[in-house]
Amino acid sequence: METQETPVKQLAFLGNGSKLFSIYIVNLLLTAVTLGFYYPWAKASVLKYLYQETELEGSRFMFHGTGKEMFKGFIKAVAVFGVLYGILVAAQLSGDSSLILAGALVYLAGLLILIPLAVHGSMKYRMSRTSWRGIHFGYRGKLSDLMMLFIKGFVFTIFTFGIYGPWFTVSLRKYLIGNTRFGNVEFEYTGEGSDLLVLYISGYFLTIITLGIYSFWFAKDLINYFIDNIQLKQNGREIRLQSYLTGGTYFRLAIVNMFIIIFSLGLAAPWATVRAMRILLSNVFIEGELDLNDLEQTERPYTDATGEDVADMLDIGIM
Amino acid sequence: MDRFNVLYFDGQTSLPKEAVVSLELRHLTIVYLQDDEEKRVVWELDQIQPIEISGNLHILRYGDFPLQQIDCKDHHFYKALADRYPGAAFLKISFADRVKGWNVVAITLGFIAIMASVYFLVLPPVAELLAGQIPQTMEVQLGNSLYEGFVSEYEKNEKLTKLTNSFSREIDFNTSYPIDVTVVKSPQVNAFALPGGKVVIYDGLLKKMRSAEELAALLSHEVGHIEHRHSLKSISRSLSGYIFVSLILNDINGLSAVLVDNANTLNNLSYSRSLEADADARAVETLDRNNLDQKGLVGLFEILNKEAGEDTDYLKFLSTHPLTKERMQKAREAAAKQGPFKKNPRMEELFREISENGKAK
Ligand SMILES: [Zn+2]
Repeated sequence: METQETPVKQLAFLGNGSKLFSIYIVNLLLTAVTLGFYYPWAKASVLKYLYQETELEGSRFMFHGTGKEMFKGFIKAVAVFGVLYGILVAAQLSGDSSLILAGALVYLAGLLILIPLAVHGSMKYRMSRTSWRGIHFGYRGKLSDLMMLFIKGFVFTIFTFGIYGPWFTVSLRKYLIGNTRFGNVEFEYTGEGSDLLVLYISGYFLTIITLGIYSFWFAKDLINYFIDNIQLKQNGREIRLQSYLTGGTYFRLAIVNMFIIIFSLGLAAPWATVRAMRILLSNVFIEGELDLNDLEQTERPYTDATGEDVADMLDIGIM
Repeated sequence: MDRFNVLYFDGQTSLPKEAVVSLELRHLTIVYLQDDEEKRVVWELDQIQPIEISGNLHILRYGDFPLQQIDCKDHHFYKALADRYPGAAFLKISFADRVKGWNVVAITLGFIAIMASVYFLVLPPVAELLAGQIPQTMEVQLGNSLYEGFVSEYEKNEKLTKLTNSFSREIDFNTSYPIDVTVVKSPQVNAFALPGGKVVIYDGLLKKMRSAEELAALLSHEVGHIEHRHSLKSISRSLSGYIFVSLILNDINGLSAVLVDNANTLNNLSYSRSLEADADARAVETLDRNNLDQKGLVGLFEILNKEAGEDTDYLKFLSTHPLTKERMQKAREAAAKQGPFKKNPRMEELFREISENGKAK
């Protein structure tokens, strides 16, 4: 029987806390014993697990990145940050106010250049190392474009006292998502800076009026706004992502996770991660005629993980 | 021969192909139907990627980019592979994947034990050792920049600063550090030493001084902290503790914040009892070298001790320099053993000016 309803597909997270915990604790131990040098391997093992336990139409996602690839990036990232922090601290210690200012400016300029560099490298690496049924994701953005977009957006945001911020965020999302491929499926971000600004302003005031309680609903709105505006295109057909996360659900997720982490002094973080993944993914629906048996391999191999590690040190979360 | 039903993906499209994999002697053969035609794919063992297992699901991938893949949901699959190809590289399960059950508990406890012993036993002496290696010029620079940050939040008492510095120049501290005293306006009864030679005294404490020897004892005590690099060691300890914790929590960004604004927490640093004892011992030495009455130190403790119960202002000094019965006892014993001492007329004169100036306000 034919129905007029849009076909719906869902992602499912099947991981469990105790398995993730055993990965996490081994990582902690080895990272401690190796004075931090195990970090890239630790990260690779966590990503591998999280991807592997994410299912779409009965097949698992896969993260192909290795500790070895990320280690090379890690060393470069450590060196870059060592130099930047060194400049900042040396300037601070000099006690000369003009040197302190110069040091801070160099540090800031360094960060300004590093952030797009890191985002670009990280997107390119992470996407190329992600696959599903053997079909790889890919990122085709250009570093020079992203750099221009970033610096322009940063300057505009400063000169408009932050008002341009939402447009800046949306322009980055449009560029990053718009340049992402999943085999022959293309992505697009359809959000608008003005909508995001309205969301920010109303969220900000409602949070103040409700003494912070609304912040959970605000966070939920931001997550949903991000996901609902992601659009997929396959052979001319448009497919939408929709997140049906509610404020109540997000409130319970955040509060319970907070208790889990605080009362275990952070040791139970893997259970919190698993809860978050499960709840967030269970609320995302893929609506439209997405033919998952008809994806074609389109991407080239790519193995440079430097951006991934720089992004880590800057604490930029990607996907 | 072992055969298993699998889903095969050819790396070109996402279309799953129902296939049968057979475990041949030196390779895997995958057979599937495409357009009613039987297709065979051969996988050489040495090009198969390490197996991934999640519950019943076994995933094998093969070759270079784009990789082929088979998914097998038969829970006998791994055992069959292991029996057929003992020692094959692609069957190795990583250390983390092998850790299960009680091993997890054991590793967790081991990890907590290692971290706790590093934090409490290894870190403090290492931090102090490192603090001891910092060249003096750098220490002075660090002290100066901390000092700028601190003093900007207080109003300096110019007159008392000048007088107290003149007073301190009368004392031979036997130190290579450039001792420089600053008196700030605050009712708090407190004083502390910064790395590299700066001493900060709140005028609330200065006003309580009853004799030149008490002030000399206070200055000698603070210079003791400087000479022993106590502040630097405390900063180094707390900083290393912070770095350690933030590395565990992966919070590298928090680091710069601490490096930049630790000046604010400086007057909250407290010295341990053993550090206080070291500083007291140096104070006794200094008073002795200058032929000053060592009862000054006893007097200093008496003021603090007697009034501590009555006035909460005193708690501040006591919290940064914990006062104990032993300290008092030691100071008394030292004073009792002391040989001849005399008054220094120049110091007496300066002290009179300091007290008059303090009372005038
Ligand atoms: Zn002291």
